[in-house]
Amino acid sequence: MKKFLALMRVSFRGMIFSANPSSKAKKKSASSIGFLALMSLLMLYIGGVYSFSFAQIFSLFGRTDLILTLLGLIAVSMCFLFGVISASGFVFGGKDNDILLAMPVGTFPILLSKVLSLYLENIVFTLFILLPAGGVYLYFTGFSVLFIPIFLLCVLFLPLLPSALSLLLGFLFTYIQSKVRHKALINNLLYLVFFGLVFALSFGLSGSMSSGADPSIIGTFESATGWALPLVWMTQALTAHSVVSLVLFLLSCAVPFFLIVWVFSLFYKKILTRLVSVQVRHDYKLQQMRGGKPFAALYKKELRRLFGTPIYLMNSGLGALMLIGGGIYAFVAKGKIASALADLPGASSGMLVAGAAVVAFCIMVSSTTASSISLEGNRLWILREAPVPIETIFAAKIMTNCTLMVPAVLIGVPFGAAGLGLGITDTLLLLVLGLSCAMLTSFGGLFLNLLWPKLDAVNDTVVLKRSMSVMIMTFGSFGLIAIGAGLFYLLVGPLGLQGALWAPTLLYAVLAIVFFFLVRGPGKRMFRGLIS
Amino acid sequence: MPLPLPWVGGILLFSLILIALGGVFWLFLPLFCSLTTAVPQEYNNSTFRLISNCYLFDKGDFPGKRNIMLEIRHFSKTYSSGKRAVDDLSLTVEAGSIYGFIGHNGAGKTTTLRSLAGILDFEEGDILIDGHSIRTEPVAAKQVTAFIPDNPDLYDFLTGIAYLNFIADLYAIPAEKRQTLISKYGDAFELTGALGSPVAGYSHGMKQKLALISALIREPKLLVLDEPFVGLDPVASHILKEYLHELCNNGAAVFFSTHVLEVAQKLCDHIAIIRGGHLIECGKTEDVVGNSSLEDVFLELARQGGEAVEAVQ
Repeated sequence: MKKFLALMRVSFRGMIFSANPSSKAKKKSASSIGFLALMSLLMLYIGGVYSFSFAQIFSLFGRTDLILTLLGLIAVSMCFLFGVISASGFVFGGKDNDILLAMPVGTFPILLSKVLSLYLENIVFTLFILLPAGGVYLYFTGFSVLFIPIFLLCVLFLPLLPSALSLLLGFLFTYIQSKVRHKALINNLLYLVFFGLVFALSFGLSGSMSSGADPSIIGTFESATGWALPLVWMTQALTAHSVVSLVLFLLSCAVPFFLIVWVFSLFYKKILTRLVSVQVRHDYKLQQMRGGKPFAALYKKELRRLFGTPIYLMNSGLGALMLIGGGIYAFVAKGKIASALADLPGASSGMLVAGAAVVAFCIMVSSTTASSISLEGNRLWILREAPVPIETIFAAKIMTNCTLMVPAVLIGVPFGAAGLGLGITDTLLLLVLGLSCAMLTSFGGLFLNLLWPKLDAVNDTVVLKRSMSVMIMTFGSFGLIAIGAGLFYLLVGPLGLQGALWAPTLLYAVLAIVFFFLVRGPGKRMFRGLIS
Repeated sequence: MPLPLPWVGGILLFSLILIALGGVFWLFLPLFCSLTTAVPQEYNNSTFRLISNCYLFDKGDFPGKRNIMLEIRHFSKTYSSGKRAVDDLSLTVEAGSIYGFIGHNGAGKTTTLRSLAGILDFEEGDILIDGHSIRTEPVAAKQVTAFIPDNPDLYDFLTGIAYLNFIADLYAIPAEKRQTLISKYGDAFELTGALGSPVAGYSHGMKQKLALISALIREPKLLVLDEPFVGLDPVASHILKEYLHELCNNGAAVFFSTHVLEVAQKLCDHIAIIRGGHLIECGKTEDVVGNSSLEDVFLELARQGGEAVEAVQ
């Protein structure tokens, strides 16, 4: 037990301080708290928006309890979504596996400590999604003392489910990656399918939310969530205070979790051995070589890194893929959109604003540069000793982000605009907005990463999911979108729809220029000061 | 209208005189250089070879100031934590020299090597490589330098050949030349067959060999190595030593750290010993070692250093 607790402590510390770019203890704890606060805020926002929107509909039919089931499902989905990538990285791809397996500790406690660090992360997600749901439920139905302890038990046990599921799917993804030749391509496709399914589910939920007070919605939701028995038991335990349901819920979460961990622990060493054994062939013959310029070499290297690392592409390029996919979908479903708009008075003018919001969100939520310095890690010495100006290194990283974002804007916006029935000037405005956002995330992301580099991460997952620069980039983008929205609402009266939308566009362009100069000036000094 | 014969004859004669004068000039240039650079008497028999307007000296010849490949001037490095890793270090490495840099763990060896490779920033002193300051002319200084850290982390997502091409592009090595050099060093280190596989699958020794090949194909004027023999098998170690000699014979210099004192004593013509960030001994290997062994000298200096610290305390 002592050994297990020691392992847990290491895992927990690793998780808490993984976002931290600094080696100084005070800065370390401050940045870690900041990181947790940011994550919590996002979850509270998601939980709050969904809870209130659905509670208003469900309360009309006396089924407020459905919020708990629904938000429970969202919590499990969110944990699962983030956990799959984490499981691949932390459980099967951790650099500490060699040290841990050489220690006189069984594989079950080692695996359990790793999975429990996933579980601890999931608890935070679950708490901040379920907390608003619980509050809203009590607000609509009245306060109950028993609700609090049962709620806390639910928060403790519910994350066990997605943790176990993440472990299973994370293993599957890692296993496939180790088996196939074009592993990056196959994994990228797998992640795309997985994210596609999750987004389809989210859009379905949002669609139901906007359909208004239709009594059939209750039946739809009951059939949609009824299969998730643990969540149904959780809701019954919380609302009817049923002991049987509570016990069933606790068992349905704990038993599969420990069973899966136990079964995996039996084969953990074998699994890791198989995963880490990369075949080296010895039949290569030198072929005709071609020389290239330093910038081209750096740029190609960045592209190979991006497209050869599925988690990097999925974390940094998902917005671009969403924009292209969304734009093409809008174009294909043009007829449906047109008929829907015909029924809603004034909806066509709102399409420009909605389009602008989607473009800004898709482009600003992802940036390859926000993690590109951190991903150099211990290999930073290669760039530092190369006879290449720092500007060239930066330019290659910025160009990589633009390679992903600019085509996404140039393809997604015209298709999307055509699908939404927007005119040429509106399309032009969206194009400029998209390009401004792309420049802002390129320069801004790089500067943030220079400010908060994470060069000692145990794997790429830590950098891409838990590093401070990525978090600040993501949440900062939400903030900038909110500021842009505020500017729009302030100016829409005097300037009109299009005029008001130019304001955030110009703001983002100006910020991009500011970051450009920051990267060129202090950014170069920061790069020189980096120690890997 | 044809040119008159006297004019043609005059032009030819003038050209011949110019060529002759030029030949005399080129013949006397080495002497001119040797006078202006005050070559010591013992190097007067040096064999000069002209390569791209740069005079290089064969093995064992150190022709004074002009061929100083590395000059460390009052270099100090203090980390942000306040730890002074290196204090007022001055050192000169001449072309054709294999210079060993030895010291305890944490003595400041790696800090010095990383600083002169342009990886670590520093504020005090200066480091000149082939006359270029690593602080003010980093690109020019790095162009003639190759550095290999003690545990070279390489890009796992690239294949071995892609990594070598990447490095060759950064150092602007022409296509034909890189092909010849990769073939030469790849075959010597028995790595050519594995170059098509991702670096992720390489063993520690294979990564070390790949890093060494990537350094050697640059034909550096200064090769800086941090513990180069760690992880190499005996055959590869032997080959590396041969290439270090070859590099020096061609006028380059090697500056490396090691804990293997026997290797340092046999391989190096110069030795520097660092302790607690201070240079405590440097010079020709035979002068430093004398009739003893490098191990004895090192242990004696370490003991004296320990006593000095105790005395200060």
